Amino acid sequence: MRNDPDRTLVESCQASAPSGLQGSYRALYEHYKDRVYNVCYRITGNATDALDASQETFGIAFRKIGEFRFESKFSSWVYRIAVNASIDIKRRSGARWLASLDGSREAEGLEIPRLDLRDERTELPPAAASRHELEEEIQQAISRLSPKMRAITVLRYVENLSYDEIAETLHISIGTVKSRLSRAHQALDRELTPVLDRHYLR
Amino acid sequence: MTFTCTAVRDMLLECRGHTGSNDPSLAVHLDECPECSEFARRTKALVAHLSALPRRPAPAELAGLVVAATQAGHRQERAANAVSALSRLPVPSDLEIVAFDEERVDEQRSRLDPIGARAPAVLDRLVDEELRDPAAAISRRFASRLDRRRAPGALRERVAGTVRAFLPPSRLRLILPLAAGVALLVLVGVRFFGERSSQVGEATDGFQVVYESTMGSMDPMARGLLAGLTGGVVDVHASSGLQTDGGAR
Repeated sequence: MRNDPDRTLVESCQASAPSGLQGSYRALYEHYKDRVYNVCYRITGNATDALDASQETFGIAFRKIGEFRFESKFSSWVYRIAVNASIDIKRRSGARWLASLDGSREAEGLEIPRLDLRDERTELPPAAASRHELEEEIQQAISRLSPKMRAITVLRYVENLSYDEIAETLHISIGTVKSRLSRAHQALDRELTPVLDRHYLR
Repeated sequence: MTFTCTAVRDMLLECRGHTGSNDPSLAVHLDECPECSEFARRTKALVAHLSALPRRPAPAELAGLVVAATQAGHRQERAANAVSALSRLPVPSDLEIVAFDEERVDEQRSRLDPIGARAPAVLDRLVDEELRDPAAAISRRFASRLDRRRAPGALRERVAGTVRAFLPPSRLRLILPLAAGVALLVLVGVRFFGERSSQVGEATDGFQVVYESTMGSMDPMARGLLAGLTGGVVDVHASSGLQTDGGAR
């Protein structure tokens, strides 16, 4: 029997149909909304598509929650829906990528970037504008990856999932996780090494 | 134990570029292999920046969108279930499905009544709708066959009362259209039948008289008004060469 930290909440939702965002559904939503939104944002590359993908993710999850049988972790199931919804919406909207990283970042309550200052090779962050540009370039590099590479990059490095969790989420083998991650890393390394050099943060 | 460069790089990716807790042989390889050492350095930096991407909080409006999506999804499911439960009607006996052999198309066409056997052009649209959204197409066909019921008399009174509440007083209902018509005539009259003594008159009382000799030089709005007033009798396209005499006639 899989030990799923969300089991109680999920079973509570399965026991009743959703009538608005209330009770257990509300609790699940609050627990996953930021994670889902971040995955959708990093895969789609813009806030508009991320909102659409997030809406679709929760809509599907709540309508289909009765069919969930705990054959995987609930979080893996939700991440899978989010990844697929994001890729679909990204595909539908074409290659459009809106630069949503503007001066309103502080108003959005974004966390400060978590650089490890104990590492002697990590220099102090440059001015806010330069950091903003770097983030934008990193996001653009992620957006240029193929959908499969993008998904695995986001799950591994943004959501910090393990290889096992990624394999369960994407329904692929560990070997496939490793090979895709390696290819994604090569592509990002090729694109971002000059960028990082330019920003003197390597 | 010695590692290949490929194995070393896989291990570096798995541990996100950190080498401290790994097999000591890994450190030996990195000391001896400058390419892998450089790979380790770049990997660590890249992973650090990817992991440091700011996390974006879900916007407040997402909650409302999720509620709407959930409710809409349930309605779609109920509609789909209802449509699939509808009984299938038998094909009418007068519907003939004719399969044409491509080699005999002309021969068969010549024997068919050209009016009765040709599918109407609207069938293309209907079939397209059927393929795009079968459930909606079925619903429309069945809805069109439902008995039409007369609206109860009380409804008519209620609607009339509602409309009356929004109408202006009866006197204004006569005056407003007349006033609009008069204003339109004045505007057109000034544009077309203004002073002939000067090409561009002085602006008085909010109007400016302009003498135009050709349709092409007229204001587009004035041309449109002229076409409307004459019911299209006057061709206002500049290419027609139609000219005015400034109102001599």
